[in-house]
Amino acid sequence: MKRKEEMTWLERMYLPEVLRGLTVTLFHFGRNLTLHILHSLGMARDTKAAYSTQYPEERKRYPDTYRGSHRLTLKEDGAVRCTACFLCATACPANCIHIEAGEHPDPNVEKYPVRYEIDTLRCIYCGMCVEACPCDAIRMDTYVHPRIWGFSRTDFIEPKEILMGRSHTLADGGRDSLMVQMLESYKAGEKRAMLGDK
Amino acid sequence: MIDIAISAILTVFILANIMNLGGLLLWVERKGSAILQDRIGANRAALLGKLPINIGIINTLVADPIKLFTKEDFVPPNADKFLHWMAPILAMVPALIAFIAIPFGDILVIGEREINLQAANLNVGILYILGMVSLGVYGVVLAGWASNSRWALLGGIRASAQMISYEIALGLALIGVVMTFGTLDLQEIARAQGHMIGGVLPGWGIFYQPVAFFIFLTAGIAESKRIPFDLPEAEAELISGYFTEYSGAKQATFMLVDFLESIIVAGLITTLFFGGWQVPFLMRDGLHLPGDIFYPLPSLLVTLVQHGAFVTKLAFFCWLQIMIRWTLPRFRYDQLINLGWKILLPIALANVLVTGLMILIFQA
Repeated sequence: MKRKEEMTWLERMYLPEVLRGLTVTLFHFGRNLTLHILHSLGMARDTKAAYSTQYPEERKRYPDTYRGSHRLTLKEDGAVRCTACFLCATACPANCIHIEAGEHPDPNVEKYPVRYEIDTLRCIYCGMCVEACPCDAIRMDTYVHPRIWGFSRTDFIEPKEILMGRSHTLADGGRDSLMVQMLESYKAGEKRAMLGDK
Repeated sequence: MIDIAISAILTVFILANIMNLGGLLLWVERKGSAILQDRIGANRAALLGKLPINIGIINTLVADPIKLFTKEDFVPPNADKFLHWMAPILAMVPALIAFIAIPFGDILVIGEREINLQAANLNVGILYILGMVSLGVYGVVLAGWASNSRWALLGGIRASAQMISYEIALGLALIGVVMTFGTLDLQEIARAQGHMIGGVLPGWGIFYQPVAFFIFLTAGIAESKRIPFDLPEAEAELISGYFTEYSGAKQATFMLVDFLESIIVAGLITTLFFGGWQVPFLMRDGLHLPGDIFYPLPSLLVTLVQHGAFVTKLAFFCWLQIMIRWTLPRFRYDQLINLGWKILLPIALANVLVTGLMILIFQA
């Protein structure tokens, strides 16, 4: 077993290796500096000079498998798919789903949720509710992260209307629509906070 | 009286310029390292912390010093308050005044008066600068001692060992140069590099003393305590070494001292090995091209071009030190001491010997 890598004579001289290292850094320095100058002149915008993303001006799209905010899926007529079976609330390890069941006016449908609330301050976004649901009524494929700030605790409790609204927005506006909506709400909130209005 | 006034003006000129250059180097270090690592680097600082005005690419130039100088000035409990306060000053003053012996131009002719563009025309310039650079150790060691912290003390001890070891190689590398030019006066050394070797190659020190150049560059980087020889401050092992317990303006002083020392090293390399303010083919009265072609130039223009050449060379070597800093990893402590005593010192001694032999052969 070879325990120690022996350096060659040239490597032990140290200076050639220093020069080799310097050529690598100098190449990157020259390339990126040229690109930065070209960018400031409005040229070669497609070639990136840095791998970093300038958050929050630039944002990366969340991947397809991203487990984001919840939504309640809809039937073809726009009514909620959920049958208020309480399986999600039972599976939830954080006890954040609160359902109030009611009798559906249609005799062919047994129950529906009168109230369906997710307390996102308690929610740990584990996805157990999605796995537990037998009707595919709750999903987390909204490609948007949970709300991160608000003015009061009630801002973080998402009722049935918001959860269903996400399905509508997603169907109308496509994949990025909810993210756009959230950024707009952030901006409005920032303005409100700046003015000191509660 | 006028002589004193001229000296004072030149000194203020140098002080102001190298302080500015030190601040600039902080910016070059942050943005330059970002560029070579495929990053963007620091690019946002809002004025007064609230207004969404980004001052763009130069903001670290303004924001960094403001931030550092407005931080709390913390003194650890049980620290020696007087020494803790003195240490940054003791580190700063030698670094600042060492530069006055470095010539930054030939002679500026104003009316009848010829002004030597060097704040102090010392005939022992090299010894003076070496002495001042050595005094810098006191600030570092006292900072480590006064902080009452084991990391700071370790950093101070490492700094004293490292700087004493590398000063020997530094001085021996310079002896070769001094033997070649036969003087300790930096202005005379710069003037001696004005001729051309064989009519094409500029007569710069590096062509006479190539080995001394590499030893001097290595030992110089070690003297200014920068990577790959930054064991006294070693962020990973010693947090920040001797200035672990410093904050605010005092810490900024130590950072500035590092940059000032690298400027001094760059200035010495420029003066001793790259002709100082010399521009190839440019003499005091005009341009002497090979083949006896002569263009007379006004004296003021020549002086300005030469000063520009000096600043360019100085800036290049400052930049080169930053590039080396971001290219190489840190030495281990035993490797550092081995390199200093077992490799650089014998090579420097051999260089002195060979230089002496060459002088004997060529004079005979």
